[in-house]
Amino acid sequence: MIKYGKIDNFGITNDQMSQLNFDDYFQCYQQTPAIEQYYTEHNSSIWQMFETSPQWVHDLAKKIPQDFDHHVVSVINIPPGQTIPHHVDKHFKLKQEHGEGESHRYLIFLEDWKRGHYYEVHDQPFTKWNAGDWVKFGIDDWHIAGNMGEQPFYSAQVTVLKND
Amino acid sequence: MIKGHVDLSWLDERELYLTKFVEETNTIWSGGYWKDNNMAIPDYPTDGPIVLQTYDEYAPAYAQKIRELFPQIEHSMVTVNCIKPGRFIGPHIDKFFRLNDLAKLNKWDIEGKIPVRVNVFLQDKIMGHFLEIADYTFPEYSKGDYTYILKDQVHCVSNVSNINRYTLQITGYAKTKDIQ
Repeated sequence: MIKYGKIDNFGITNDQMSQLNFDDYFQCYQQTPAIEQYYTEHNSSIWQMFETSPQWVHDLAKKIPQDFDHHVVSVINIPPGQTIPHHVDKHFKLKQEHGEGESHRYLIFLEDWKRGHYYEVHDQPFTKWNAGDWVKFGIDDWHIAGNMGEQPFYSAQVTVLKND
Repeated sequence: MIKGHVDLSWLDERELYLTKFVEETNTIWSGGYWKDNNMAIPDYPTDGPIVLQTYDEYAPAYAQKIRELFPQIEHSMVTVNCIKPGRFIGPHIDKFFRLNDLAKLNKWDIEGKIPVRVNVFLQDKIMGHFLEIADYTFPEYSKGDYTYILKDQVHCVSNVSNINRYTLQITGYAKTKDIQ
């Protein structure tokens, strides 16, 4: 089930955003033959940080519903013209480290919505968000994102696991 | 927002895929949008902002048939657009240059009328097909639904799905009361 919520008093500043120092630029996973046909390193590459994310990204895990035992965080920058095509996230690494259970992802929007920024999960497009809004979804929820605007599209992910 | 609906149940999706497009347009310049707003051109991928188009006498029969469903649009011209997966048209404004030039050249009576572009959806909403007009996004629509794009409205479109995105546009003049 898709859930939506908001972190009150979000307070992430433009300065904090601009100081994000991404070091990993890679092509998104291609999970279906159709994705392989249309999406390449040229139109589906993103910046992402995991453990090296600044402390304020790690602290986001304290600001979402505490319905989990373990978590990992990351932050993503989708540059203009890039996409994250249809995919599901299985959270293998989290489960490998912390055992089996039910896992979810909180996608947290780090800035107010900007023109051309686009996210959709399970046929539910999501736009016009405010900084601090989040979407929670599971391992079987296909989702996509894209940036046809002129500015980077920043989001954070807190992937959570509730052990069985 | 959706402004109306025309019955396109007769239009088979296979016809869309058989459409012959006569132009492949790279929209990187966004019709002057970046320049007009003193903005740097985004570092879009080279083959990203590309739209396939066919229009007017080159447009297929189904396009002409749909155009006739909009008699309120005078001096209308028709275009079929295809945006392939992974491609998009960045933010831009339609300036209706060609339409306005034709109006002057042919001395059309456009008193009390405004240029308008009708955007007709030729497919039901597909996950990853995205249209945004003047900050309005279209979370749901059905084949045959249509909306209007007016002068000065910034809009953009993208296809993050695995399926071609087809729309039809009818461009002409209309009385404001006829396009409410």
